[in-house]
Amino acid sequence: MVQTMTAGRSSETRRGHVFDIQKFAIHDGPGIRTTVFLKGCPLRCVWCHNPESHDSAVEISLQLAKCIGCGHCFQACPRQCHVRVDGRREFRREACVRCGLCAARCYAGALEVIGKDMTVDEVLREVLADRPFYETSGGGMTVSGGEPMAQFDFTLALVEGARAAGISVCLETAGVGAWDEYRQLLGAVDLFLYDFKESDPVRHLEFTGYSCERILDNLRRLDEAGAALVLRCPIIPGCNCRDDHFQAIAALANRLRQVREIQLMPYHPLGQAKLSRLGKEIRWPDSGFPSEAEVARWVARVAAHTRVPVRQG
Amino acid sequence: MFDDEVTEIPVNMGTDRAEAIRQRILDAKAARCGAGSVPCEHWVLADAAALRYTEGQPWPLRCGKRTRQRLASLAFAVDDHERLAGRPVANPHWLPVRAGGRIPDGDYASAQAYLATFGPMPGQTGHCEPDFSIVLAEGVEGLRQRVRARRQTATEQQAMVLDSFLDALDGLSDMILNAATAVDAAVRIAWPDERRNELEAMAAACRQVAHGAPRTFQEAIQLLWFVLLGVSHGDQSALVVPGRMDRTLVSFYERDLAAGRLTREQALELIEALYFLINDYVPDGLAMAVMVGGRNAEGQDTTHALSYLCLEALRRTRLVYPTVGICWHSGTPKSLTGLAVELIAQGYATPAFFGDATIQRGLQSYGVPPAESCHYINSTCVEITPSGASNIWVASPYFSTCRILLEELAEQAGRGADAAATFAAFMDGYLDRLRKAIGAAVAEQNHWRDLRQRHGGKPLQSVFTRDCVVRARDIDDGGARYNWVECSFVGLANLADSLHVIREEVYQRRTLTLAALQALLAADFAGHEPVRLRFSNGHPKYGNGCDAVDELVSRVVQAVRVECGRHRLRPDNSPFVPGAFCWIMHERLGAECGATPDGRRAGLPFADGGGPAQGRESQGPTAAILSTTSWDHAPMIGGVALNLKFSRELFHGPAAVQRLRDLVVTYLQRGGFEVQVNVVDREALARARAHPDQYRDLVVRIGGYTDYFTRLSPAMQDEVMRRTEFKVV
Repeated sequence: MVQTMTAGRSSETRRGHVFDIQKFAIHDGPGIRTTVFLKGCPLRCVWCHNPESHDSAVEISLQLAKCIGCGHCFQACPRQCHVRVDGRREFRREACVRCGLCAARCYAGALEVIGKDMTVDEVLREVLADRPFYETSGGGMTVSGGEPMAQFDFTLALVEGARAAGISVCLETAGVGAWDEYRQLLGAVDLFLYDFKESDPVRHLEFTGYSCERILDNLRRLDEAGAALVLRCPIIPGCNCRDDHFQAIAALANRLRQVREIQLMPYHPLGQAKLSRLGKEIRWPDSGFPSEAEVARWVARVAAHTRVPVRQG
Repeated sequence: MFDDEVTEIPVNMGTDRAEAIRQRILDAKAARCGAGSVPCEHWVLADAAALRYTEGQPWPLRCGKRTRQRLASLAFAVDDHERLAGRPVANPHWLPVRAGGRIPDGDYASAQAYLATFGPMPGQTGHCEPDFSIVLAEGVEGLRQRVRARRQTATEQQAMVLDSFLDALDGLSDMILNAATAVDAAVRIAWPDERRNELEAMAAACRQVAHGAPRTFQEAIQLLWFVLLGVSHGDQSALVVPGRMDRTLVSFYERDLAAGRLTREQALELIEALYFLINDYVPDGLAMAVMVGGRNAEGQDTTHALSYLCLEALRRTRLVYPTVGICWHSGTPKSLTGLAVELIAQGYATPAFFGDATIQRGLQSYGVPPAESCHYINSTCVEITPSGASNIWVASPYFSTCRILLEELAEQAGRGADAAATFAAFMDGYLDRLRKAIGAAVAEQNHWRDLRQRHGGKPLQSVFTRDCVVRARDIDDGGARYNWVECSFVGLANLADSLHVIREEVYQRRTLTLAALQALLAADFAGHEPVRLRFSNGHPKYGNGCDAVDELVSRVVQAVRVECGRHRLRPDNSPFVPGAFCWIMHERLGAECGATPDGRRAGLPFADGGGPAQGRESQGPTAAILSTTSWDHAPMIGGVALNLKFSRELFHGPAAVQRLRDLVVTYLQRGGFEVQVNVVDREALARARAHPDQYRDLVVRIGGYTDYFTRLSPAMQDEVMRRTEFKVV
């Protein structure tokens, strides 16, 4: 196993909050990759399709359609969070301490624990299992989230571990970390998948809950430092689908020297179902999938203003 | 060397023509309920006629006359578009009135009764690529001369066998001339002049190859078809396949191209014409194999421009036959693999990939010398047989590994306190039972071999199978060089998953006894859905990178290999060769099998080959591939298939299609035997199910077997839809 020492803690003991490890990821950087999704994000984009990534803490997801009414969760829960009210099952989340005992007994798969604390070595072991596929395809590991920079120490150890094992590393980030932290990643990350969601600063703050200044600043500095970049820009009907925004994307790419590609990511409403499973409020009206024609139109719009390759991501 | 070659072919030329033929075949097949173009009543009347007029003669001679009679009685037709002759049609002179013919039904019944007085000929037929080498070089007449030459040094008994071969060859010539006559009839009414010229050339090609050697690509491919049809019909041999067309036809293609007699587009049209003839003649529900690429005896890549054309021909034919296999090795041009993957990504279901290194290693382990191990075919789906030299009975029989498990469970449960005390003891008991089943199957196949030797006779197939002529022995009498029997073990994934649950629940956690488990399964988990879900979802499953479960498959395969290796087949002590391939038997055997400890309910299908069971691929295709290649496929020459199914939208854009190629290549590099990929969307399947008439041509591929989706049983359709669509969100 790869041993990486960072800040005095080894890859055997350093733990991170992981919510998914996706194999055969073919849209998150070159080749066949494994994408490690880290839990916890400082942004609250209203359209987020991975709302389970917001909190770094473990969460309990309940899919009622899968419940077979076996009653195992009633017995398993030490705090009586699963109860029957008027003949209907109810999940009293306010009393839940997210111990996961109910989900462990739910073989129907209705209750699931979202998130798992894993050591760097545990994550790398899963990632490296697919090494034969990376070798054939020129792939590797992509760290995504959530926001990987929210768990910087873990991310750094993971990235360095993968690099030491000889596989390529991509990092998907919304650009909200400290510059000094990005600087430390420069040597170990082959490609930054850098999110750019909204060019209007006021709207950015309104829709993501975060100012875009730091994001743009980090992007400029990564570019100056020579980091390879892909800009990933969501197409969100009813939010950023404006000419000026997509022209601004092109202009941004033109100002930078290291942007290899611009990927436009069409909104999909899968996050909505996830929110209700987590017992959270839906804050964004489901605008449905943008049509193929609409996506093609925005791709063409950006492409008309830059020589950087543009495609649907 | 072909990496830089442009394989693009203008698709507009010939497209209308191809579409017209395609529609005619789809309509005709629908009208015949999927049956082939020659009704099976044909055989009854022809056979009875030949056997009656040869009463009292020695059996081999009667077999020769029978084959000749069958072939000479075939009638042919040609439509306004066809580029090759030889489409057989029902001949009313050899059909009873009730099947649309002119022979009184009473005569037909008496013919049937007469044939019933002959001995049974059980066991498998066909499933092979004939040896085309001599007939393409020397013609039918050349074959005749070779048989005659052999006859000069033959014993009296051998001479009779060789005479039957000569009769069969005469029948082949008669049949080809019948086809020429049908073209003549079309010439008389042909319009415009270009079509008349084309038809005249087709008739001339038939007349040339009825006796003589083919001189052009067109004549060669025309003769190749007549050999396939002749052996299939003349000897009632199912699934005689075109095989390695990119080797068989190379010299003709190159010669014609160099002489300016042929363009790539014309060659493509002729290959399409062959595919069309196959689709019209062969009933639905079977398989016809073409394989391209691979290596020669010196280990050099044999990919040729023709390899690409054999694949390209799928674009416009878009029918169920043939499947085109890519014989992949590390030196296979990327462009060939790329073309196959591109077709798959567009939704063509038939290209499949075979791992040449693994398969050659397996063939050599059964005694095929390296000079021959490079020349094999998936004789139908994924069962491998050496080309041109095989009388190998494939898929004989299919073992239901889980039914055997339930038998063992029932017996152990009945023993009460004496039941196996450890998992190791339980496993020993299971493997013993499996060994007994293998022994019993071999005894049955040997009995059938004896009956075939006594009552069989396939003189035409013998002529096209090495070394029947040299040995002067019929193929049913052991004349072929390879006389193996290949069997297949169905449901290995369910078996491993079940064994793992038994180990965990009965022997580790001790949540229930073997007797309680048996009762639970016998009741199909009635009233115990949470327990079923625990068995199904609470334990790791084969195909997801869990060593403890994957290793169980490895152990069973090892035991199977050793046990099969202890048995020999008559008449020449041939090996009994295992496989893990299913055709549609995972559904049939699943329907007959009770609930299993992996949480599978009674009657549901088993896993369809070497991969994880349906709906149990929780870790995606890379884990499925790593697990599937965690055990050695090479001894399983009877076939190992891995099915991957993806939704169409996953492969948007060339980069994503490239990833599919990388996935397939990694599987093959790791020793994978065969892999096929279905790229469909679920909605398309749902629509096809609701409106079968509009989706007659939707082809899916299951367990090495390709079929029209709408032809599948509702249970099988369910299964195709249930099979995990690996989808990246």
